[in-house]
Parts: sequence; structure tokens; C-alpha cells
Amino acid sequence: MALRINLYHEIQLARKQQRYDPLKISMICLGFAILCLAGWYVVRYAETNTVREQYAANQAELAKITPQSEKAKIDEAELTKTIQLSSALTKRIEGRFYWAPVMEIIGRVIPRNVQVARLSGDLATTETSRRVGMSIEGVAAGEHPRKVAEDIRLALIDAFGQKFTGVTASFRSLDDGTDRVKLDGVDVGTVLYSISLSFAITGADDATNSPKTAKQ
Amino acid sequence: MTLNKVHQQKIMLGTMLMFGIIYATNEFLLSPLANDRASLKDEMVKSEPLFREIRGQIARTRGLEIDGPLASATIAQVNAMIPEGAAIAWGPPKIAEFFKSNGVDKATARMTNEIPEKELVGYRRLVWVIEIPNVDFVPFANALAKFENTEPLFECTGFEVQASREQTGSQRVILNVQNLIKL
Repeated sequence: MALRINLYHEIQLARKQQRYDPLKISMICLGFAILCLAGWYVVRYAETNTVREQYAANQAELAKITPQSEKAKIDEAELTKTIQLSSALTKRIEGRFYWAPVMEIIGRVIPRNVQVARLSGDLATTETSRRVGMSIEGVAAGEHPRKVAEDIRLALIDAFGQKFTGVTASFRSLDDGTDRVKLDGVDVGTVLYSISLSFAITGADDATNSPKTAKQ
Repeated sequence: MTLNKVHQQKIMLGTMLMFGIIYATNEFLLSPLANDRASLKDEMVKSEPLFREIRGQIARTRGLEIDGPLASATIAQVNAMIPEGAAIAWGPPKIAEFFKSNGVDKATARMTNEIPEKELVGYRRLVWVIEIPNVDFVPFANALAKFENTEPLFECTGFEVQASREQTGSQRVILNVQNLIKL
């Protein structure tokens, strides 16, 4: 039987050791790690680039809209001024007090046996409210002239109360007249009356009183 | 396989090299990128309120631009109602003419005061006294109604109607009127 002796075992061992050289293995590992790190860097770099692009786009948009904003700010001030002026003008025009309906009420309420010698009215405007004060003076004739004058006062309250708020009407004076007049052929007495009438004006009153053509 | 001293040294060297590379990569490549990214994001977050403000400003102005032309038209319409020239020159003839064309003769107007308008910048208020010496109540009331309807820049602030002693049914009227004019 032949004796088999491996004369190359040392060479083989050296080759094996060379193949599994820890430095070589660690270099391969290192290379792999560097590759991973490079990949990771590329990913992060791409992410950063995306953020940079977003930032650049933001800055570009900012540079684009900033002048627009400056112009808008100037325009806004100008437009606000115009709109406020227009609104104030409209408010002033639409908020006017109309005396024609007042005249109409007076003409309707005063009966033919009552004479108005003096009629006056004033519009008092404060920052918070507007109020009308009126004075009606004249002669009332009738079988019971004081009652005629009182009826007028009540009729005024009733008629103005339908259109305005805070209506008050009181006699400033009510004196028996010296003259007697003929009314429908009957000799009747007279009184000299002076009625003070006042009422408040609200926005709603103005709206209901204002004629349709007021907006012309 | 057993590791001899040389092998151990090589492994140690490799490990150290790897840590060194990881450290260098992190310190000199990844960290600056991360810092860059964070600062850019931070800048963008910080600029968001500015963007909101700017966009809000533009949107507000666009909103006003819708009402603007209407407001300008209203102002132009009001201005067109104010005649050119001094009010003292055109006011009395205009008022007299108006009442005359509505059946009320001899209306005379005189300016008594001039008040600056605080609310209406660029405008002022003139106070007029209109005197009508002899008029019937109903034609006067009709003329006043028409005056109030057709002259939106005028407002009657007071009046006095006094019955005439000489002529029954006739009255003397004093009207206090204010109107708006441009500065």
C-alpha cells in the first residue's frame, strides 16, 4: 500500500490563510461600508437638493410677490380711502331727513276749524342721535275750542307716532281767544294754542321716509 | 482558524479605518448636508408667516378692488352733481330757479356759513338760508318734496312758515339748508 504524503500542506495552508486574510476581509467590509455610506450620502444629498430647490422657489416667489404686496398695500390704502369716502357720502345722502312727509302729516292732521299761524321745525343732530323739534302755533275754533286744540295735540302724537319714535307733543300755551268766529254759520269761541312737538329719527325712520328717488 | 497577532493587528487596523471613514463621512459630508437642510427648512418655516401676510394683503386688496370701482363711480356721480366754480355764484340762482320752476316765485338764497367736513375729506358744507316771502302752503310743500328728491346734496335742517297777516292763505317761509361741495 502506497503511503500518501501531502507535501504541499504548508503551501495550501498559506494559500488558505491568504484567502481568508483578515485584512483583506476587513478591506472588503470597509469597501462595502464605503459604498453604503456613499449611497447614503447620495440619498441625503438628493434630499438636500430638493429642499434647496424648494427654498429657491420660495425665495423666487417671495421676490416676485413682495413688490406686488408693496403695491397692494398702497392700493389698499387708496381703495380704503375711496370706499370710506363713498360710504360716508352714501350714508350722508341716504341719511338725510325729509321734511315733505312731515308737511304731509301736518296738512292731513290739521282740520279746517284750526288755523296754523306759525309752523317751524329744526333738526338737531348730535353724534349719537338726531331729533326734530317743531313748534305749531295758531287759532283753534269750535264749540269747545280747548278740546279742539287737545284733539290736535293727540292727533299729532298719533300721526307722528306711526312714523317716528319718541314722539312728544305738549302745549307751550293755550289761551282763550278774544275773538269769536263763525263756523258753518254757528258762532263759536277760539283758543290761541302753541304746541311743541318733538320726535327722534332713527335710520329706519329715514329709510321709510326717504322717497324712492333719493338715490338719484 | 486561529488568529495570530498579525491578523489581530490587521483586524484592529481595519476596524479603526472603518470607524475613521464613518466618522469622516458623518462629520465632513453628512453633517453639513443635514445642517444645510435644517437651516433651509427653518428659513422656509420662518418665511411662512411672511408669505401668509403677503398673500393676505394681496387677497385683501383684490377684495377691495371689487368694491373700488363702484365706490369711485359713486364719488364721481356725487362730484358731477356739484357745479364748477364758487358756490356763492351758482348756489342762489340754482335754488331760485329750482323753486321758480316748481311754482314758487321769489325764492332768495344767501350763504350764512361754511363748515369743514371731518368725515368727508375733500368736501365742505355750506349753510344757506332760503327765503320765500309769499307762498301757499301746498305748492311750497310740493316744491320742498321735489327739492328733497332731486337735490341729494342738499339737506333741509330747519324751516319756519309764518302766516301772512295781509293775505289770507299765504305764508312767508324761511328754509335752512345745507349742501355739500368740494373743497
